[in-house]
Amino acid sequence: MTQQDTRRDGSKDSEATQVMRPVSGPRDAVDPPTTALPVIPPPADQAPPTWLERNRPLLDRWLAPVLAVLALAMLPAAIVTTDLDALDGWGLVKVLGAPAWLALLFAIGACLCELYAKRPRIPMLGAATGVLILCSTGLPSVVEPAARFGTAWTITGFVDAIATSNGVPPTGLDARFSWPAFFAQWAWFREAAGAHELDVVLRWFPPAVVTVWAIGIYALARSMLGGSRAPWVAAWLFVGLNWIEQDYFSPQATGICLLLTVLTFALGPLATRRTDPSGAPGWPPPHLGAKRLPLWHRWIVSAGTPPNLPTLPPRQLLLVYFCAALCILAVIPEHQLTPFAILGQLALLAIVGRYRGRGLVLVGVLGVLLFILIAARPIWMNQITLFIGDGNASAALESGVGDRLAGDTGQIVGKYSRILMAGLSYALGVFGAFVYWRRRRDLVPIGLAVVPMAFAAQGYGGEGFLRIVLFGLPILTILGTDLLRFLVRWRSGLKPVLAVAMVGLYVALIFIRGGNESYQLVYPRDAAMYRSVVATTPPGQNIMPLSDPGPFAIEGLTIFGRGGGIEGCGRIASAKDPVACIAQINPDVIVNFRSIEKQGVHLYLQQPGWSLNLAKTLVAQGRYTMWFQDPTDPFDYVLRKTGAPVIDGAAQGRPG
Amino acid sequence: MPTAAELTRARTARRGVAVMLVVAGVAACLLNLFDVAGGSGLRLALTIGFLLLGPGWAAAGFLRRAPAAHMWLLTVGVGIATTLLAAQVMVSATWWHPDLMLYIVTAVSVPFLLRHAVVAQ
Repeated sequence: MTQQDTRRDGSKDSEATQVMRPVSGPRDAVDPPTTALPVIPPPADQAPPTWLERNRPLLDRWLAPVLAVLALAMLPAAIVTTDLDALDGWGLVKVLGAPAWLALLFAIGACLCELYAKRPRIPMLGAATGVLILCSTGLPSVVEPAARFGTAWTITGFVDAIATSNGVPPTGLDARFSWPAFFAQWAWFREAAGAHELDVVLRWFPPAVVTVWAIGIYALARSMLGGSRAPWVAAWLFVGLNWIEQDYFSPQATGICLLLTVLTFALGPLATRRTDPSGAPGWPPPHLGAKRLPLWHRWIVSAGTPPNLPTLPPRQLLLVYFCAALCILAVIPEHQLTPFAILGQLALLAIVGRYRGRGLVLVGVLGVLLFILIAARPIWMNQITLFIGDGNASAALESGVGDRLAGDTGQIVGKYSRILMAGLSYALGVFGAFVYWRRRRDLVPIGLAVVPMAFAAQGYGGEGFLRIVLFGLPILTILGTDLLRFLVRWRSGLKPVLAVAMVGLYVALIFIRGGNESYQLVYPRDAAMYRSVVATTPPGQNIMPLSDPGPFAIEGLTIFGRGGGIEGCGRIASAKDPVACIAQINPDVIVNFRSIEKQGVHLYLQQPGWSLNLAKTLVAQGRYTMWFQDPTDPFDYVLRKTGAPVIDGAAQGRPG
Repeated sequence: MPTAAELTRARTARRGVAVMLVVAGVAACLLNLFDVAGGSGLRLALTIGFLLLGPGWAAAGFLRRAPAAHMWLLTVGVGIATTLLAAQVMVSATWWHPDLMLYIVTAVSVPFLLRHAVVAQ
């Protein structure tokens, strides 16, 4: 809009050229100036964006995938550069080549790069977590030629015993057969797949099961912590603190999967609070100004008040109830401890009204009672101390922790590190519980972590005290993550410190988990040798190993004796007089592996070559003959009693 | 809240998993029936993979708009639980028929898996 014709104002020169110019003043009220922000020219002294800022989108997109691929690419080189023959009391950490450490660093880098990206991608974080598990917990599965840990091989022997006896668990052999579901499950899988052994499953079971656990921790942390980054940190912290080595092929490994499933749904979709209809927590006073009800009254009223309904539709609730009940019922015939851990945690949550579905506790308790009273009556009659312990917690602590502090320097350092790591887990959990309480005024999670400590007095297995940390570890790590998140929000400069701490934690994990590798390592030739012994030995003979490492009793568990029962001769490797022990036990066949030799040297401080010297002594005495000795490894040998019958393995076929 | 595109991608992925499990279950049963490739890695992987994931996905597929972590955790949990209970039933009833139990689990799971392949939640 421009000024109107100025000729109307009586100008004398009406023919003069008129200038059209903008009007200020009165027209502003009708047509205000634009509200657009004015263009501000950049100040002359502003620094140009750094290389990192300019390339941030590109780095966010590609750095994590590239690092993850690099980590995977390092693994074949790690296999080649790891010298397993040089294993000693310090374990895997000393023999791993540079590519293995680079793989771990790249995997951690992939996780952290994606975590610090502007918009972390869930699939990429999931993939990076999988690579991290493979490069840390799964490293022994990668660099070793067969599954580690003699107990895992023993459990395949249990599976074999059930498969070859058409689903009838043997009696009087091992207390673990009283909970046969896991062995029967894998015997079923094996038979249905037409396989005769599960060696491959054994080898890759630890990384696979830890992946499932990590999914559980992530899902649980999503419910408890919220956010898009903290749940992933919780999963990595759990993997890093999980030195406990209960992820081998075992009932408790799958038991933890079931525990996490139940706990995740109890604290996730089923989670609720016990509040009044207006949503205020606690029980309201009867009328304004009334004196507060006594504590016991409030507790009784509270216990009788059902928690509010979760927001899920009824059909979805029913589905979750059904699945949770299925998991609780399935774990009862599978493992002796896990059901009590689940029920203890669910009972605590039910008492404080944190989830809808108290009936799950009832289902679990009834299931346990029925199983013990009916299906496992012999357990109830003879082995009640398996459940209640002998009440001597200090003795359990001594046998679980104190008696295990033996061996050479590497062994001792490794075992103290385990205790330190357990202490670190609890310290993180306790400080995290404080942070969690400040944020949400809630102390229930630390209670969930402490409930399984009731197993401390339960001395079954001799190492129950250290094992039980695993049942509380999921909650402890989630609380610990809350602490770490608080620290990062308090001082953002702590991010690089925590990244370095993550590298340190995973190096410690490999050191602790691989600390016993010198005598937990198993070669395929060991399993092949034992299978040839089983195929050529007449049923009823006693086959005895010099100690417990190695793939012993992986077949023929029910048709051969194992000797033993002599005081002080439980393990020949640690016996004071091995020759006298063997004379008393009088086995028909003696089996030795390199892992037994290493156990004697590094754990029981025997002289190197002790097992070979023992064999030579027995052969020199004329009581035994060297039936087999591996040409590539003299410590892999089989001694047979002189004159003992040997059958043709080819004609005999598979035992059982 | 997930976007519509993310939900569509999640549904497509769920359908894909259901179809793959149907194929794995049927293949495991056929390999068992004709006793082909006994003890091979492929047959072992198919059989174990289906038995551990098939029954679980049949149940977890009914979860509506659940996060992927919840879906997979419930899948593995229910898969482990179902097979543990089935194995325990075979032991307790002294009725050891691994082949038949594989067929039963497949027959019960596949209809639900087919449903999830068509109607992803």
